[in-house]
Order: sequence, then C-alpha cells, then structure tokens
Amino acid sequence: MRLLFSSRTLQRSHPPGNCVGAAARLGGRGAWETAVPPFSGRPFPVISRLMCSLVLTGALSSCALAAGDPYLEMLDEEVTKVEAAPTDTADDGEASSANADSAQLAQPVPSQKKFETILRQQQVGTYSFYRRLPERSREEIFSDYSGGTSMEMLREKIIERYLHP
Amino acid sequence: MLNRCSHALCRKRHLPTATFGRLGLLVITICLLSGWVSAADQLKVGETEQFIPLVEGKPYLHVIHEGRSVKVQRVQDPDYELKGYFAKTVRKCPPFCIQPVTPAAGVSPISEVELFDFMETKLRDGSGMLIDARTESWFRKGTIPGSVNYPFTLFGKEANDPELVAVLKDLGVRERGEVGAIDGLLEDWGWSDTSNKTENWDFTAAKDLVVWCNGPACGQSPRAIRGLRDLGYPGDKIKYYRGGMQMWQLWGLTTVLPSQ
Repeated sequence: MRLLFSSRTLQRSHPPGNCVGAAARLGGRGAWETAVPPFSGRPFPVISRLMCSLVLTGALSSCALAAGDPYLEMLDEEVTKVEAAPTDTADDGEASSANADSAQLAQPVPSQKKFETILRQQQVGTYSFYRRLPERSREEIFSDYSGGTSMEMLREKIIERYLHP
Repeated sequence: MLNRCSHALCRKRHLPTATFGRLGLLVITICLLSGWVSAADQLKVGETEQFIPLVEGKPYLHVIHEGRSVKVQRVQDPDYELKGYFAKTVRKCPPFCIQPVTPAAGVSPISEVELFDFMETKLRDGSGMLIDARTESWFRKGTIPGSVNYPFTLFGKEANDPELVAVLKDLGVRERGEVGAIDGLLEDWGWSDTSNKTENWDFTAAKDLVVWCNGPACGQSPRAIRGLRDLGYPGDKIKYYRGGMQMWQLWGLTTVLPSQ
C-alpha cells in the first residue's frame, strides 16, 4: 500500500514518469536520465518507477530499523539527566529521601518471630488479634516495632487493623 | 532594699524582714519558673501542631514495599524546596508534552489524596496494584512506595507474548481458554455477563490499578493505560495518577529506591 502510494506520489510530482524529474529539478540532469532512452515507450518508465519505489522503501525501512524506537531512545537519554542532577531530596528531609529510605530498608532488623514471642508473652489478647491479621499487616506492625514504636501504639494499631482490615 | 544590708547586726535586727524578702524572692522565682515551664509547654504543643500531615487527620500512612513496611509522610522541613530533575518545568516536546487528564476512554485521573486511600485499602488488601509504568532505568532512580514496575512497553506486546501473559495473570486476569458450547450460547443470547470478557481474557477478577509515571508531561503511563485498554482491561478498574513522580516529590512525599 505504501509502495503504491509512493509510486502514485511520484507519478503526480514528476511528469516524465520516472524519478529523474526530481533530480533534474534539484540540479541538472542526472546520470539515470541519460541512461533512459528518449522514446523507450512504456516498459522503461514502469521499471524505473518500480525501482525508485523499491529503493525508497528500502531506504526508509533501513532508516527506521537503524533508529529503533525514538521515544525509548529519548527516555534513555533523559534518564541520564536524573543521575547528573543533584539528589532531589536526599539531603533536605528525611521523609522524601530516597537514599534515607533505602538505608532504612537495608538496616538489620530484629526477628519477627522474636517480636511475636514478646507480644504473646506480654499482651496475650492483642496477640490473638495480631495472629489473625493478614501477612502484610503483621509485617507492617513488626516494622513499626523495629522502628521503635511503643507497645501501646502497636496495640492500638493491631486492633485498628483487625477491626478495619 | 533591706535584703541588700550585709552587716551582721543589720541582718540580725531585720531578720523577719529579710525572711519575708527571701520568701518574696522565692515566690517570684517560682512564678517565673512556672511561667517559663508553661511557655515551654505551649511551644511544644505549637511544634506538634505544626506537623504537616498527608491530609487533614492523616499524619502518615504505611505501605508494604518489597515485603517491608514503609512510612509515607511529607517532609517536615518548612524550608524544603524541590531540586534536581523533577524541579524542571520545561522538557523537549515532543516527546515530553503535557498530557491530558484522561489518557483513554473510561479511565479516571486521581490525585494524591485518592492514591493515599488506595494505598490504605486496595493495595493493602491485595485487590489493587500500584504500577510504575516507567522503563526500568527510571524505576531504578526511585519510586513511590508500594509500586511494582511494569514498563509501558510490556502492554504493547502481542497478546500471546509470554511476558505479557504472566503480567496479566499477576493483575488477576484469567485466560478464557475454550468456551463451552452452552456458555457460548448463553453469551450469545446475552444471558451471561460478558462485559468484562474478551475472546481471550476474563477481566472479571482483575485488580484495580493505579498507573503512574514521571508526571503530567510523561507519556509512559498513558501508553501503558492505552495498551491495557486495547487488551480489554476494563476502564473502571484503571486509575491514572497523572501527577506522577514530579508531583509526588513536589509535595515532599516519601520515595524509595528499589532494592535490586
């Protein structure tokens, strides 16, 4: 379809019926024009049109392949600017600091089982709620505990999670 | 004045007066001290009141990220200013052009407030997923806690691509396989609900998604959303967080670096 369109476009743009017209307009007579006999009849213009179309299509597709997805390339280029820029918020505040959080994630934490044992020993009732919580919530509670949250706050949170899962 | 008399006789003679003077001083000191303490208390209360919450009545929230709980809150430094790449206001357009609020038909945009609610409800109970639709190199620079990285390029793959199939299953989408004769008839007659089904996929149990990328001038999540919609993912199960990383950081909200 694209090939057909190209040949039609060429047909409209260049009256002699070959691709030499454009070259001639741009700058004199090309070598191809001299190769084409002046009264060659129909077969030559058809062949030359086909060749032009094939060459153009080939050139366009090879260009596209060489370029890949330009959007992805620009994204890859753009992301390097994030590296080059100063760390957005790492030094400005604990909350939004990516580095601080990653460091927080990397910190060694006490065992969750140990925490559960303590909870069972010290707060039997709360523990009964805790063990019915989904895994995610239990991990969250444990994380709070690792971060130094008081047992009173943890109890409140466990009950809140239990009542509003 | 009497208290300043340092002579021994003088002190003896005016003992009661001196005692009163001392008592007066003591009372004044106590008054001053109590005033200072109450002022300190007021200051403390004032400081607590200055805490900047996520929204009114919600100081922070927790979200599970890569198996660990992360506290999401705002920067408390009143002098905090956004710096770096996400502080930029201008990027080359195209491709980094301002995006419309609706990336595809039937998909609604959401703000941070709705995202907080999503984090505390659907993300927590597993019925929702927060999708960072950026390419991996962007994801590695930091992400919103609770996000999983499904680059937008995934959703442009062929429908039978194994990677895409795996992702769709993660999102709660089921393969339909062969539809039985009776089921087929019921569907043809309109007696069976096919609103969330395509020829290949059943989206009935599909998770609610919030899809985001770099911000209002980022085309990655809109592309992901359009890809999902082309696959048949129901529009009412997709939300578009248009603010993305840029607005998230502008509000001074917590970001995390992926561990791997």
